[in-house]
Amino acid sequence: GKLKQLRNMSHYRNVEVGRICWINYGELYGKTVSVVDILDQNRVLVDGPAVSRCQMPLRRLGLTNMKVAIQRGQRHKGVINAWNAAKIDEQWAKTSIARRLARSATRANLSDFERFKVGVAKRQRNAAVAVEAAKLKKQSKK
Amino acid sequence: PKATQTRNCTMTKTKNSLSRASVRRQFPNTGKGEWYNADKAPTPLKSRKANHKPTRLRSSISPGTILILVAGKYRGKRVVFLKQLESGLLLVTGPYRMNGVPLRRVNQAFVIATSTQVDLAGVDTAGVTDALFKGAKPSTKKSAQKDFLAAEAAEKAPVSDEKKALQKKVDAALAKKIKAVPSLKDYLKSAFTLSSGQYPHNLKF
Repeated sequence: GKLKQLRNMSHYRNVEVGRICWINYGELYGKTVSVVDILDQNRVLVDGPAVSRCQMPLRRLGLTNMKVAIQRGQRHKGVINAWNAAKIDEQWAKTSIARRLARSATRANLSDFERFKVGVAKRQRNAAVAVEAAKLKKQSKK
Repeated sequence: PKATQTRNCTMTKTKNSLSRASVRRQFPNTGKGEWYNADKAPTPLKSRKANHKPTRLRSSISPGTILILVAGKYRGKRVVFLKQLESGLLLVTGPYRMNGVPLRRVNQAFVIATSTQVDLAGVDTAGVTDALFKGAKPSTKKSAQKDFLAAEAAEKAPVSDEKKALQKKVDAALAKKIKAVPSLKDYLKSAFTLSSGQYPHNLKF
């Protein structure tokens, strides 16, 4: 009925075979996988280029709006082929989540000297912003 | 366990030598025992004084590494590691003009090694040894008023000219190398601090 209609609208990201998800908890944090089969209410079978085929609780997955054209239970090779054909890695890198993860990783790996330089740059940027803000405030008061 | 038996055998062969007299040492509960050579003088344990190895330097610390001092008067300061002295302590310098840390000895246990290195080519630290840092020995006489005052005066004695000269020499060469790297001088001038959300075990240095 109406619900099914809504579900088929483009904004919904369904848990379905071929749905690309990213793992948001645990050892495999940050990796992308494709849903290959649905095991029960809470678990799915996933597979992907960076993750060997395994079951994954849905709690650990964040859904993306990308899909690959695979069949239910598709074997690893088939998943990889479909993955490459759809250029998932490229699309994923453009998403804001992927960029956020990359930024976090860079920040975590900064050396003490690099962290110092970042701090200096931030302070300079904030000082420049403060100057402009003060100008605008003055203007608005007039 | 007491020696409960003695025997004088001819030609009792023990581990190290043939012996005329050997004594049996018996363990009370089990009745088991062992024969040991009674003629042999006890050998002293091997002295380790002859085999003096220098303190093992952490692999992350090498000449030119920038260290963060974690304890002591200069805690939080970032300093340059020059060399490991005979005593095993690390010789560091601020440089003095940048952060007020003079040529100083530091224990590597109280130091965080960063991954930043300064090129030490042309910096001559050969003149700096442990002897330079030995302070005046305190008076061993019973404390008369005079001795106390004299001892206090000695503690606050000004820095020797020799030290000052060495400091200038080392720092002059080092400052050139530091200025060649952008922001490095400011980095050494600043102190290391932890802020909200920063945990040392998660930080990379």
